[in-house]
Amino acid sequence: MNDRCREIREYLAEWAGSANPLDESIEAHLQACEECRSTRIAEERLNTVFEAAVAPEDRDLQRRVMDNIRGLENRRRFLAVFPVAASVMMVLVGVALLGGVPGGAAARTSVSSLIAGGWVSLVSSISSALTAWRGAAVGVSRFVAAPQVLASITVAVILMIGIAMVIRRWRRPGRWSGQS
Amino acid sequence: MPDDVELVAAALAGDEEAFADLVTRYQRRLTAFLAQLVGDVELARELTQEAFIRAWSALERYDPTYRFSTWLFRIGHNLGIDHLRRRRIKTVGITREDGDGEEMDRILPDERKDPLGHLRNAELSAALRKTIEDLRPEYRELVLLRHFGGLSYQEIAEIKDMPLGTVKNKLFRAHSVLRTELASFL
Repeated sequence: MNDRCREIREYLAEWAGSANPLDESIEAHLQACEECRSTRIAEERLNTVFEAAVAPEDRDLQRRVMDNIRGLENRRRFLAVFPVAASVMMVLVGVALLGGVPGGAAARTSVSSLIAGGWVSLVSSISSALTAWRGAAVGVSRFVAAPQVLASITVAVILMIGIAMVIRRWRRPGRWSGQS
Repeated sequence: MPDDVELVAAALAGDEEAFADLVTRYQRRLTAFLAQLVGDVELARELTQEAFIRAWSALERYDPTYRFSTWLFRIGHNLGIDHLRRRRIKTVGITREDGDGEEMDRILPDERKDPLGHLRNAELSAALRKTIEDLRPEYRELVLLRHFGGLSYQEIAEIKDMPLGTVKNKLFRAHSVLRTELASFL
């Protein structure tokens, strides 16, 4: 076997039996070299044997994989929402325990009415937190930090961190998420 | 038809169907490769399932400068190798306890689990199994990746961290052995 035969047989081992048409120079060599010609036939048959040896598709496997993945995703989403839910609870409890924040509706709301008020109280608390920012600015400008004002600022910051966390966890930013 | 990178991008954006398409695209070849590697079709299906779940969980770490197929097969390959290591440790443990090493070390063939059990020609199936088993390990793995995994030489070179020329050379030698050993069937 000379170098050309070796080169041709390496090529045949890779491509014989595939859809790739053989190069003209290879075809010319095969016409002239009987050993390489028989190698080509053997390689094509070997390819057929391997094609048949690959087990048929398991049609149920895709469903099993996707069921597992959906379970994982549901768990991940729950874990992503959890910090926000906890933050909101802390806001409600904190506001209620402090007796409310300055200038907000929650200032006149007791713990029991907060619970009874449901989402209305929640909206009211958020509005109160926003009002607290203004109060804090006024307080800082006068070098006076009333405990309620500080508590409201803390609560608002916790809420904002919670929202930032959920946005970050919900998405799956890859190192190349900007690419299509 | 979208390519692998487009499907991965869609999956990362939350499109689970895009990932399902990738599963459909690669499950048969990955199962076939793992079945040969671990010698058990049922186990290979479980490992394939695990490989896809791991791929999904780590999808944001996938580097699109490499092919998805090589990344996926590397995950599958590592799972298969880990399983073989665990099985070896477990087998040694059992033989020591029973004091009957020869008997326990032998892995009895189970036709239902045989990766080549679906071949109609039983003689060819047996000859192919034996020929693959008898190949040098460095050739065997490349043959499995090539003919059961359906990977190109370039993909194999990436998975095995080998120069393309080395892959060509080893597969050429492996084919010489295969052609000789299976001559009566070719």
